Amino acid sequence: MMHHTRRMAVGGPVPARGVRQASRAARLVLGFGCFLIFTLWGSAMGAATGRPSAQLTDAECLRCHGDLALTKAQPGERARTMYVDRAILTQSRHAKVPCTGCHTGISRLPHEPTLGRAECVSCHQREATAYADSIHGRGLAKKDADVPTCPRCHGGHNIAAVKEPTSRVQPLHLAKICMECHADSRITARHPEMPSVLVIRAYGDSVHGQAVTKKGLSVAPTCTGCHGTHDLKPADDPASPVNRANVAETCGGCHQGILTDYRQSIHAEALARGVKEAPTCTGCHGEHTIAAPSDPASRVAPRNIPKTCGSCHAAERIVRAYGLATKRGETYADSFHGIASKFGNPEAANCASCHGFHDVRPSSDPRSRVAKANLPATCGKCHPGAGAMFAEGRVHIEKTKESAPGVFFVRTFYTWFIGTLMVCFLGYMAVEVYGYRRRRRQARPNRGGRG
Amino acid sequence: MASRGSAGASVQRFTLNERVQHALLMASTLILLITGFSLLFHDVWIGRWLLWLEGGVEGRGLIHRGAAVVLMAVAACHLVYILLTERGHGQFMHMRPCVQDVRDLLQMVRVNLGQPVERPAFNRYDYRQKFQYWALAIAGATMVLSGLALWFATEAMAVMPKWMFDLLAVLHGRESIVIFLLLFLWHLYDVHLRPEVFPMDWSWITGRISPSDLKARHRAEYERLRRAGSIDAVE
Repeated sequence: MMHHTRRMAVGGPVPARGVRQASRAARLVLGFGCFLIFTLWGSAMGAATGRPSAQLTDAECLRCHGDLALTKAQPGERARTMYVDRAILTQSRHAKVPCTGCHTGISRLPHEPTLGRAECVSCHQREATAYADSIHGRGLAKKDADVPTCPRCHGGHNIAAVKEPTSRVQPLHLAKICMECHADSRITARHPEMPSVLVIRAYGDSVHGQAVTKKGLSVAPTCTGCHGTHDLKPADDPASPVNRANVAETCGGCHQGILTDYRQSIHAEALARGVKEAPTCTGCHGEHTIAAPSDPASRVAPRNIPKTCGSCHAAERIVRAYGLATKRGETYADSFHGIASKFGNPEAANCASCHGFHDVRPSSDPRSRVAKANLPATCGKCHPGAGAMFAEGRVHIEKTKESAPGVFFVRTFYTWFIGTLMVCFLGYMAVEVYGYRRRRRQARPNRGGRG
Repeated sequence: MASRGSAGASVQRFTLNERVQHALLMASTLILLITGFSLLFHDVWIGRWLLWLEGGVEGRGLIHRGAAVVLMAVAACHLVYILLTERGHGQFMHMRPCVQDVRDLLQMVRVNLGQPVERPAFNRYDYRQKFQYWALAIAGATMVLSGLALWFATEAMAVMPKWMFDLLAVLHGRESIVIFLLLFLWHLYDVHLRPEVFPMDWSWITGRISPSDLKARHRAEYERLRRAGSIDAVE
């Protein structure tokens, strides 16, 4: 914005000279007027940002910075090159931006030994505002030297548009840029509030990370896809897209159909009510470790589902606090489905096979797949014979006298029957062995006179 | 006390057919018990180890059902044997329980406790053997019927309520423990550890019994055979 103004100021008289039909006087007045207006405006704007009113051309800068030998050394530091490769600049997104567009505050040449940070805000105001309120921006305000500023992520003279394959923040290699700091244990050691390096690195193996690196999907979420970009905030900030309250919306940005299903669920309802244990997407799927259900390591792989659901539904504290049904995990684990699933049959029914997953509802809800009226259809998915008749009887409940009198009776009967049987067998054996020993003693009466 | 292996030609007790039936019954039941217990005890190390050995739940199921088919086939052959063959029918008639068995049991207990009573004169099958036969027959029938319902779960679900299915599953598991006790606590004692036969009653392999053992253990049968002139008298 600024540099355009300056150019117009210099070019002020040019259009005046080109007006042939007007009288000389008129042309002079017009020309001088334009010159005056543009010059004054230019000076005013220039002064407002502390710029030199005198135009510095790139050529002037390169007179020194075009020299390969130009270096600068702070006391106690190694000399840094101050050479600027013009070719890099001309290929960058900022090819048309003059040096002074970013490097402001130069009032004379040679300029001060240290200039301020190259400035982006004058053109990129929206981003700068968002950044200032981000966790990074707040760190910068506290003069934290580890915090990334614009060029740390976007690059400097080689800056490219985000969508260009050469851009550092292009989705396909953005994660690497974030990991330059977030997977650097020296930096995380200085900042205990930063997430663990292991958590960060796990992303690379996740279904999202693999979609980016293996499949080259630029639409797959990389760090910024979930965490936000310039306005990035930690998860405990209510404004963060990865805050518990916002996770579903964030994931739903891509997984829209699933978000619609999830909103129907008892989990979403509980989350909205403020139940702090109610699972949102990440509660079941994991965060950086997220894997496709087809991946055996996934928390939502068929074999792992009981454990994942059980982490709440078999947790005594949660079960008691929210009045959830008890012994669901154990009774499932002891069922044919549970055993088959545990010992490696991926087709065996797990929690989700019957209860549904994203849209899970309690059995008391007529919409639920495990509502009594829907059981024949739900069981019928695998057992086509299961009719209304089959729904008579409750599924994986704690078998008590009241809940399952038949099973309770059979169990009680066998406990007594087996016990009685053992007593009878052992008693009979004892009698028989006693009789045998007795007869043997009588057959040899002279032996030692025992008994 | 009769001495085993005494002089005199041995008598045939079990035909080859009967011994093959017993061997197949034994093999299939053993396999059924092992593969069944690996499911029943899936949450302890022995069950997990057995399951691994059997190739997971799938392999286990395959072996279990294979052995069940053998068991059912043996049972079917046995039914044909006792219904349609003269020898089989005769054996079955000997196997029928009667009031005398109860009297024999009580009398035997009194003998063992040292009361001055005569040892009962057992016929071809004594009360222990009849108990063994009928207990296993009833338990086996229970297992076959409940097992078939569990095997053909989808078909069974069409005709029975869930609670019935659950009941059969529990029944199948508990009854297997009864069978285990019947075989490992009772039958193995009866044919191996019992002082009269220790270390083993060989007749299940050889099919034969010595006349002196026959006289000692099945005196009624011995007398009958002797009167018919089939065997010579022994001391």
